[in-house]
Order: sequence, then structure tokens, then C-alpha cells
Amino acid sequence: MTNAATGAVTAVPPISRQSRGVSALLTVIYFAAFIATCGLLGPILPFPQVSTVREKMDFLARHGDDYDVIFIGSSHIQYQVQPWLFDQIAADNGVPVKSFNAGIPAMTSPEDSYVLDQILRRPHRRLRWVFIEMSCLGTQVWGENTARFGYWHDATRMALLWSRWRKETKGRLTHLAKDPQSTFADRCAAWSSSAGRLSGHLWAWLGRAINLSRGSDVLNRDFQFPGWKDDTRGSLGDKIDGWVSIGSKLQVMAPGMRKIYDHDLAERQANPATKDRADATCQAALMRTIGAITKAGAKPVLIVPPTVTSRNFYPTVDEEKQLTILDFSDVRQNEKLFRPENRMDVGHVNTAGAALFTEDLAHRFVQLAKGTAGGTSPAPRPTPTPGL
Amino acid sequence: MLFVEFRFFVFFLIVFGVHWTLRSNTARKWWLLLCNHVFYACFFVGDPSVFFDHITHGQWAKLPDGWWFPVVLWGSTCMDYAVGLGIGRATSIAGRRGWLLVSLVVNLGVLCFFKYFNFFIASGAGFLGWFGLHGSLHTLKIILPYGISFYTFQSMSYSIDVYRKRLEPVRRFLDLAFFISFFPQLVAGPIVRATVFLPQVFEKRVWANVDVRNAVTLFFIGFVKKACVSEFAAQFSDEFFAAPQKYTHGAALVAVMYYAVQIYCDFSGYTDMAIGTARLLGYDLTLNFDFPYFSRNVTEFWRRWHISLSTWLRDYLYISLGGNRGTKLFTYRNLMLTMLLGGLWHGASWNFVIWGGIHGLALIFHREWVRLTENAGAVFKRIMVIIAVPVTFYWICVTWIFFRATDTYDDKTHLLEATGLQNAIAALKDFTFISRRGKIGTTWECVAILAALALVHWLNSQRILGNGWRRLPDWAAAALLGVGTAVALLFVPVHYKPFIYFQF
Repeated sequence: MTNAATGAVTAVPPISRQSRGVSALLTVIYFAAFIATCGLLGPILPFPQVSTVREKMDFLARHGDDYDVIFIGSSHIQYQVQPWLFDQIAADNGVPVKSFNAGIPAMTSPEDSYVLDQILRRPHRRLRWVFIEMSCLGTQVWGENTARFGYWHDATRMALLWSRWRKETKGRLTHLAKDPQSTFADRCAAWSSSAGRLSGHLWAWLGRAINLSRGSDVLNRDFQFPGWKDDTRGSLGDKIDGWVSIGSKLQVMAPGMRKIYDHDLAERQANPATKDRADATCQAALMRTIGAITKAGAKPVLIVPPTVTSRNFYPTVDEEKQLTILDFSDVRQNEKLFRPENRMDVGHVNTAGAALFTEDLAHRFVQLAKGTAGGTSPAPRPTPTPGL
Repeated sequence: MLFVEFRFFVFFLIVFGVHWTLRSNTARKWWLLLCNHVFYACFFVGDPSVFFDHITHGQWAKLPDGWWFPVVLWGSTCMDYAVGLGIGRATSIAGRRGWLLVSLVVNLGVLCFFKYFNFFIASGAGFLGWFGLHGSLHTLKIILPYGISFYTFQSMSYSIDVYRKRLEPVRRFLDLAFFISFFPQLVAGPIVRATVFLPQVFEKRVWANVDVRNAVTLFFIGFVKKACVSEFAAQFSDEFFAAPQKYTHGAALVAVMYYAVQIYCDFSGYTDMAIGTARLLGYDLTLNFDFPYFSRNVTEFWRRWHISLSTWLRDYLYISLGGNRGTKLFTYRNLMLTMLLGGLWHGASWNFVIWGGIHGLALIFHREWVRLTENAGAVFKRIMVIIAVPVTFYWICVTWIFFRATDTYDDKTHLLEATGLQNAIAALKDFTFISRRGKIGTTWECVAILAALALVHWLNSQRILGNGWRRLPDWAAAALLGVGTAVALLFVPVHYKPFIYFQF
């Protein structure tokens, strides 16, 4: 088409007229090629550029064979377990081990099981113990449209989330239906909130399935002016063992936090935290994680961190008897860990508290190792079993 | 709503489906008019349920900034509709001129108020300050309606063309409202002339005439340019322009060239997507870019860069000023005025005026150069042919330094830091090898990617890629597009930078 006024010419190429059937077939070809390419690209791409997670995964991929013990969990693990101190105490007590802190801030179920699967994808020659913080499978959506929220949304995690979401939604709607005071608007709001959570996870799954932004990760990391490269030391800590200090500003509780803490602590002293067995899906998710550790030839040790929450997720009564659980939530038994000078907030200890927590953990581990494995954990296993 | 966002694809699927399902041309135009405003509203409404809640409760103060943007758009449209009818009915030249004057004064007045009011006040105060006269500075909190620079020029083109008798006045308001608010080109162009678009509006669009493959390919190319290339290039230029004194000459060269890539891919990518979207609805928009970085001189560059604006300025401003129908000095004055105003069109800031000014000087220089070297020898001309493209590109990069020289906000003080021109001068010194202060150099990978982009661009300019693509059977093209989409999605960022030309 020639534009008389401007002199500019827009190219009008020959038109190919197609029947609706051919158009539909071409659309199918387009989507088939798209899906196939996404499927082929996914496995060959490097681990997504998720702060801390990527650095720890990369490090374990390179040095995984050096470690006998791995700690997995949220900030309760990352900031509170000091592997160098743990190793020192264990060695002093006749159980020489080398441990690595693979904790990631805010990592709960099912993200932790995905990270664990990634760690166990390759056999680790010396791995004998996996300490994992127990958390109930959560369907809440946070940090939407971030790489951190999206990277773990694979089919396995989606199946778990779907099952949990269905039960949660059904339970909530049934409860509202039975409540004579609930209105239609309440039910709509409940449904809308549930649907929002599901769509958040579905978007994350879709983004992961189509490898959204995964190439940008590589470009942003590898193609930069010199001097722009990130320093990964911050994620692995000064001793390169995965423990990171919470920083000097958070060593003392703020007055507002102190008030809340004192209140919650008094409550726990009066009424100790109860065991929350949650629903079958949460239990299945936990059992799946335990199965993965066992299959890799390691022993799972479940940790309940020293917090002042009123309920702590626990396995079923039968499973509890068979599993090794190290519970630090009893404020009377673990009095030192709950002293205000050792705390950062209601959920976390500070660096001094972290040393105390690590000491306790190491001593309990020594008893465990001597009792179950005769105090010899570093011996290499004869046939390493690949993980999931 | 950006063309590269997922919600746009959902929006467009609905627009496209309903548009081609409707039989009547009028119904289609009403439908698209509605969609144009939904698209426009997405830029300022925020959460629709909250927005409508505020409206139903009459809480006008709580409405998001810019809820009144459509009022300006409709005001401009209504006024030009009336002006068109007025010019058509006027029996005398004076009457026609009077109506045209109304259009020019109102359109330019609105544009100047929203875009330049604070700039003129601040510049005036600064000017008085030089003479020791310090008055109080009264600026207004004005936000610029999206796309005002584009749709104002479009509606003015309608009035001027009716005045020049190139176009019959539009009888139905719907037709003009649809033309001015057509969503693919509403917020960032191309600036489509009424003479190009209105004939298409009158004629019913036929699905059989839509070249889907071409339109989808164009959209895909635009998507890749914006979402992948421009966003990637931005990381280099952003880092460099934030502190140019830290970099070496090599890094400065690479970073400024990456900015050239960024701005080209950002704007031409948007235009490609706009043209592709419009074509899928059966409408053709004006070509806006024609491989401008392969221009052999700055005059040619302006025939290939933002064609819809440069031709608009040529036809409605340069020619109206007298064009080249006078002495050499008169022509150069017109050229300089046109470029200065063209620079100012891009934004109310001195860096754009400088940018326009140095382009004006370059255009004058080129005219003189052509005159002086007219009788040069064959060897000289051969050398010029070889160096023309790189020299022109280098010069264009120099001008981009001023274009990019925007002031930055200090996150701590929340104040605008007038560092733009300072940084531009530091960048210019680095880029032109005048001084060297920084230590951060470049890497071969950065240069290699730049070279690869240049190679692809050159292959495309030689029609090598396009011809190969056209020869492919439809099934292979569909499969390749599928593969291409999957690969492109790898390189899209999680969060997009806004289109550069949205701010204009």
C-alpha cells in the first residue's frame, strides 16, 4: 500500500488464503512445536538464578561428595545451624563428620522437597545424614512473578499442592455452608481467595514449564562488563559451609518485638506447643521427603526449631514412633535457647543463640550416631543409590 | 497493558474473535472503539473493582491519577470533528483558516500545557536567575496523559488535511473517534495520517485479505525486539549511564552502542507489534522504521527513523514554515526550527532540545558537505561510500548520549538530581576518546553479542532472512514460529522496563 501523504510504503505481501481446517492444523503444528521445544529446553538449562538457592545447589553439585551431613530448612536452619561448630563438637565426641547448611530463608514444604530432590539427583558418596526442618505443606502464594516462587513448581509439587488445595477449599466452603451466620458474599470471598491461590501456583507452573526468563539468567550472569559479577560468598557464608550470620543489626530484639516475644514465651511456658498432625496430604508430602532421603541411603532426622509458636507440624502418631525427631520447641527443656539475650525474634535465635542451638544439635547428633551407627558415619557407603 | 504482557494476548484474543464474528462494519467499529478505551484504561485504572467501587461511591479523590485521561482524548476528538465539519461548511478562505486555527491552538495548547508548562516555568525561572532575578517558582502537579503527543498529532493531521482539501470532512463521529483512539497505535504510534487510515475505516474489512502469517511474524519479531533484545541491551546502557566516569573508552563504545540497540529495538519492536496487531484486525498502519542504522548520512537517517514523525514534521511544520522555498539561510533556519521542535516533542527537557539541535546542525552540515564535495574525485567518493555507514552510526550514537541524558531520582532524598547532562558529558568524553578516567572495561562476549545482533540486522536489511522465510511452506513456518516462541520466552525478563516512547 502506498501512502500518498507520507511517501512511506507498507509492504503488502501476497496473501495465502487458507481454509479453516488448514488454519486449525497450522495452529496445532505451532503449539506442538512450541511445547516440544519447551520440553527439550527445560532439562538442559542450568539451575534457575534464584538467590542463595542457586549458589548452594551449584556448590553441592561440585562438592557434594565431601559432606556426610546436610541440613535443609528455612531461615531456622540457615541462620541457626553453624556447620563448622557442629563438625568440631561431633569430632571432639568421636564422630568426625563434615556438614553443610543447605537452608534457605523462607523455604518450607513443598519447596524444601524440591530442593532436596535436586540435591539427591546425583549420588553423594559420603552422605549419611539429612537433617530437615519439619513444615506442613502450604498452599499460600507469596512473591508472585519471582524466580524464587516459580522454580520449584514442577509436576510433583503441583500434584501435592492440588491435593492440599482441594481439601483446604472443600473444608473451608463446607464450614461456611454449615455456618448459619455466613453470607453468600462470605462464600464468594472464600472461593475467590482459594481460586487466587490456585491460579498463583498455576501461573508459576506455567512459567516454569515454558522456561520463562531462564535464558536471561544465563545472559545476565555470564555476559556482563567485568566488575559487575555477583559475589556468591554472601550466600555460602564466610566459612563456605552455608551458614550466614543474620548481621549485626539483628542481634538484639527491638523493643516492640521483645514485648510480643515475652507474651508468647509466657504463653508457651504455661501451655507448651501442641503437635499439629495436619491432613493426609501434608503427611504424604513429609513421607515422600523421608522416602527420598532413605532411598538415597541417608538417614532422615527431623528438626522442630526453637520457636514460640503454639503448634508444630508433626508426623502421624505411628510414624512419629519410627522417625528420629529432634524437637527444640519446649521452652522449659531448652531454656537457654529462649533467653531473650539469645533471640532475634519470636522465630529465630541470634548468633549467640545459633551457637547454643548448634551445640545442642551436635550433642544430640552424637548420641544418635553412636546409638544407631556405632559412631562411625564417615565411612563411604559401598553402593551409592541415586536419588529421585 | 503492554503488548508483551500475557494479559494483552488474552485481551487481543477476545477483541479479534468478536471483531471477525460481527458482520456489520459499523458494529465492528463500535466494538473496536470500546476495546480501544478498555486498552487505554488499563494504563491508569489499576484494580478495576476498586476503581468502580470509588466511582459508585463518588470517592473522586481516591481515584488513581489519570482517571481523566480519556476526557482529554475525547475533547481532542470532539474538537477536531467540529473543526472538520466547520472547515467543510466554511465558504471563505478566512473561515477555513479560522477553523484550522481553532484546531491548532487547542491541540497545541493542550499539548503545551500538559507537557511543557512546568518545563517553561522552570526554564524561565532559571533564565531570570542568570540575571540575579529570583522569583518564586509556581509549578503545577501535572501528569502527562498517555499517548497525548501521538494522538494530538493525528487529530491535527486530520484538520490540516481537511483544510488542505486532501480529505473530505468525516460525517460520522464514530469514524473519527475510532481513527484517533485505535488501540494498536494509540499510546506510542506510529502517527497514522487521516488520509491513510480513514479510507480503511469507511471500507469493510475482509478476513480473506488478512495475511495472518505476515501479521503474526511481524508481531513475533516485534516481541523479540522488545522483550529479548531491548531488555538485554538495557542492562549495559543503564549501568554505564548511571556512572560513565567508571568506564574505559571500549566499555563506553559498547555501552552506547547497546543503548542504540535498546532504543531501536524498544521503539521499532513496539511499532512492529502495533502493525502486526492492526493487520490481524484488517487495518494497515504506516511504516515507521527502515533499517535506520544502515543510513549513509544523517538526512537518510531521518528518512528511515520514526518515519511517521519525521514525515509529519516535514509536511506539517517544515513545509508550513516555508521549507526550502527561499534563501539557503531561510532553509537552514526552517530545518533548525523543525529539528529543535522535533526534539522538544520527545520531552520537556533541555537534553531533547540539544538532541534536536545537534541533529539540525548535522542536517545543515550534510547539505553543505554534499554541495562542497559535488565535484570530488572517484577515489574520494569510493572512500566515502565505505565509511559513510559507520561514520553516520557513530554520529547517531553521539546524539543518543544526549537523548539518554535524563535526570535521576535519589532514592534517599526523593529529589530529582540534575545529573543527566553531567553524565552525558562524561559519557561523551569517554565515547569520543577525549578523556579516560574509568577502569571498568568491556568483555569479548559483550562485543560478540553486539556483532551478532548487527549481523542479523544486516541480513534482514538485505532481505536475506525475509526471503528465506517467505519461501518456507506454511507448516514449516508454523513449526518454526512455535520453536521461536519457546526460545524467545527464555529471554524475556520477569519484569519489563516500560517502552521508552511511552513517556513521550
